[in-house]
Amino acid sequence: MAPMERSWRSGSVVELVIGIGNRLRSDDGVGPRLAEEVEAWGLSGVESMAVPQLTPELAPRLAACARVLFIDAWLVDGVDASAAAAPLLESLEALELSAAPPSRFSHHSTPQALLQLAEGLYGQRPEAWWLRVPAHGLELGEQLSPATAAQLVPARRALRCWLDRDA
Amino acid sequence: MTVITLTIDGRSVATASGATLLEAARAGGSAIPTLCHLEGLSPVAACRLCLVEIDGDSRLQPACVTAAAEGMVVRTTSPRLAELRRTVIELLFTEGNHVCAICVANGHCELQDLAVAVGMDHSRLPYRFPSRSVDLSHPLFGLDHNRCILCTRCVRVCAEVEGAHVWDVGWRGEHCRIISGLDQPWGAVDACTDCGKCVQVCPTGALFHKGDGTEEKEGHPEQLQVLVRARQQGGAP
Amino acid sequence: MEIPNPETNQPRTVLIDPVTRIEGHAKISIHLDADGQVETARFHVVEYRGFETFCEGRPFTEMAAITARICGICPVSHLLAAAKTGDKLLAVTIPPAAEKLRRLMNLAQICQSHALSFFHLSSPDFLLGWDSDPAKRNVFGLIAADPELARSGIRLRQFGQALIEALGGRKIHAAWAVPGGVRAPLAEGLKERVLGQLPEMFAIAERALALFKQLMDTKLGEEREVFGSFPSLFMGLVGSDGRWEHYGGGLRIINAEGSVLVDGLSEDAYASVIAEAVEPWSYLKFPYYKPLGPEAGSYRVGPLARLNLCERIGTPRADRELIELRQRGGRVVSGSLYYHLARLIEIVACLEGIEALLNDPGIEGRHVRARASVNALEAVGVSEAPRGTLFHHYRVDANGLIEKVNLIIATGQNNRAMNRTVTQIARHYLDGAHLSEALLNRVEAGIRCYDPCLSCSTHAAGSMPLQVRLYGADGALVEERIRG
Ligand code: SF4
Ligand code: SF4
Ligand code: FES
Repeated sequence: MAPMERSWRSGSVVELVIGIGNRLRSDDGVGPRLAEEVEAWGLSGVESMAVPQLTPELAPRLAACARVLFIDAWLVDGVDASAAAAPLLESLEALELSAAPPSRFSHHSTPQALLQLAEGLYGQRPEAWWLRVPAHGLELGEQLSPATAAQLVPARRALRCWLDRDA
Repeated sequence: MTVITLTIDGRSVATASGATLLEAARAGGSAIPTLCHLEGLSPVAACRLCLVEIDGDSRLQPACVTAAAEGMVVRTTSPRLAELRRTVIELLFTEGNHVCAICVANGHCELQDLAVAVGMDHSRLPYRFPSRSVDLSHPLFGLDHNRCILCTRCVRVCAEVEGAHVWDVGWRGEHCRIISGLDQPWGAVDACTDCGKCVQVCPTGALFHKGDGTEEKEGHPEQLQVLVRARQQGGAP
Repeated sequence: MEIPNPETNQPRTVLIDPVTRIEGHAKISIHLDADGQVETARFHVVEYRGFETFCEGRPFTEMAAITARICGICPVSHLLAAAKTGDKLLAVTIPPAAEKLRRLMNLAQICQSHALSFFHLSSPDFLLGWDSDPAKRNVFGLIAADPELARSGIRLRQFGQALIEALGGRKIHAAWAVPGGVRAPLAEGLKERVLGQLPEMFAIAERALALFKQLMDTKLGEEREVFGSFPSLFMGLVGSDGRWEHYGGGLRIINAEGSVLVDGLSEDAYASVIAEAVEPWSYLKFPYYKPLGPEAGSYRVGPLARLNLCERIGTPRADRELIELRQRGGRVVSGSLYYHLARLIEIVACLEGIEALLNDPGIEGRHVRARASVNALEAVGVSEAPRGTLFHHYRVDANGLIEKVNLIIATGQNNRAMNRTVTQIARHYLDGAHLSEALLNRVEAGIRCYDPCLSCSTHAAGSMPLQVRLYGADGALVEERIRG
């Protein structure tokens, strides 16, 4: 991805990494796992959190930071599994236009919805990306499937790119 | 006391003769990861985590039991050692059933800390999901074999410090496990004095205080040294 | 896909699995009769399997952490039910301060959970109308229409969340409530901080109440009659003096006329009045009141049930609202649209309850945990989750290793009511043999009355699509609609 033009808002320099998923459901835990790693790196100006799902009270925190990265598991089925099974780091700015309004059917929220909430209610939205790591199994357990585990290295590379602002 | 000099990681280190490489390295500022080793207990070299390279010796040697010798040239880190240590830790994880998220020791576990230290984020080896049991027969303590890494610290502390000889290692290969008494439930072993030293020294969540919930166990292996020193000196430390 | 159940007499764990893209749709099927009229409609939830085996052989002290981890949306409810079950396995009475702290946490949890349901999931429907542009009838529409309402919902969430974190730590999953009590006494300074925030929270709740009551009386008139308005039983916990209860007390079951069928029943005896039916088309168990059978014995749980069951709430502001609710809907309110109103009233009750608890010097006790070993081999623990009564039932061996687990969750208990609600809505709004937008919107909103917890477990990229299928009398699929 090409480096992007950046306009810095005064005062808000914090970068926020949000890992989404359930650590006890195998590959679904990949987001929280990576977020916890980032926390352990102890980078200054970087805040990291692991959440089971996105909820609206995260919106004010988004509004208070300059950049945000959502890390999520992305369940690939049989067809996708071979072709697209690599982590995907995408800017959410471009994606958002095409995104359908999120369902209010479950308690899940989407990154796009949260960003709009941040902007609509608090007048600020950070630059946002999401890193989706392919997930293959969601059974009970803490281990990653070998296929998802194999994506940790590229995922971490993408994460570092993002932190180094090469995204 | 004679002093010998050797080179560890390019640094010249002076140490008392009879010291182990581990002691020498630590004195010289090199950190070698260890697991089965615990100061105050006899060394057994069970975990192989502390292996180091010695010039002129094609085999790697466990620093916790190898005596330092005059003129030795030792390396405690190298790509080969890093790879090996990571594999050792991966084996420990895959040979048991570790679900850290619900474990009593989560956040205070030596195995977990070592996984971080050796850079193990996931296992390249397949998980074996062995079928193992939990022994809650003791009134105060529990043993979850799923989390036992067979370091034998409990065996040694019980025999060497408490003098009760409750623990032993039984069976072989993949069935190898810690046994109490004559392979009885722990609660049925009369020799146990309920002192809890084994729980204190266990590096993982395998031995725990009954009633402890997730993340509640904080082992204190270092307290052993205080005790051992106090006994050796026959008075207060 | 409908999978016949291979082991019908096997009691199984009820949890729902909205998981995968492939089978993780929330599914609704509507079946027509020969005349093209709606015969039945069903809301399908996928059961969470494999959970029992995961728990078997584990020390019961781990159950709180396991269940709280598995359900991401209401971990506190599982913590409390697991801890209460654990108390009974130890056969201890927990220290008074510990009970007060647990109650405090449950109130905070109910408050923040209701806030999400009302302010963010449901209020766009009420404010913007069912037939407004679907692209606008969502949280963004809400932002445009009433940003203050959306912000205040977030304030309530933050308030509840902060209180939960202050009590249990950021990692609530690590089981702050433990068998025998809780892990830590009330932190210094928390009382003052929370009391200081309460006036704002009361103002938020009261504004929402005024708004919603006005909508109920005006533009929601039709939905009030069509959204799950039918007589049924209600079940939940009630305090010994007939007060609203969320943590202790006994089980009460009333019928639509308000007659008390069961009262003061200990959760230990739940199996004497509640049976769990198994349906061939669902893995989920359907609990019902035994003496009346699976159909007539089906009952509703949750906010509306709790308000129908109690004589009074016991705090002044909430009691005023309860009286008003009964003036609107009768002594036993049967329309499920009132669940939303009940949620707002419960938010007020929670805020008042939090205030009372914090002003109770007993909550500052330092002794908060009783230690004991296993003294009972089987126990049932119960708590009122935001969505309704939650049962944990464990059997352990003499040393405390889990042999058997059964959980009865709110969504399972409300499942039949959700089916009836969908059926009622479909009958009213089905236009020929076509799944119109108007119908889908209302079906969704009908389910939302119950705020079912479909978010247990995993999440895996994004929101859960809703799949609605219409079947003809011959069983053939007439139409399918999926919304993401
Ligand atoms: S013993 Fe350590 S590594 Fe094993 S499950 Fe417990 S915390 Fe994890
Ligand atoms: S129980 Fe603990 S101390 Fe004993 S061998 Fe196992 S891991 Fe080591
Ligand atoms: S520490 Fe040396 S072999 Fe274990």
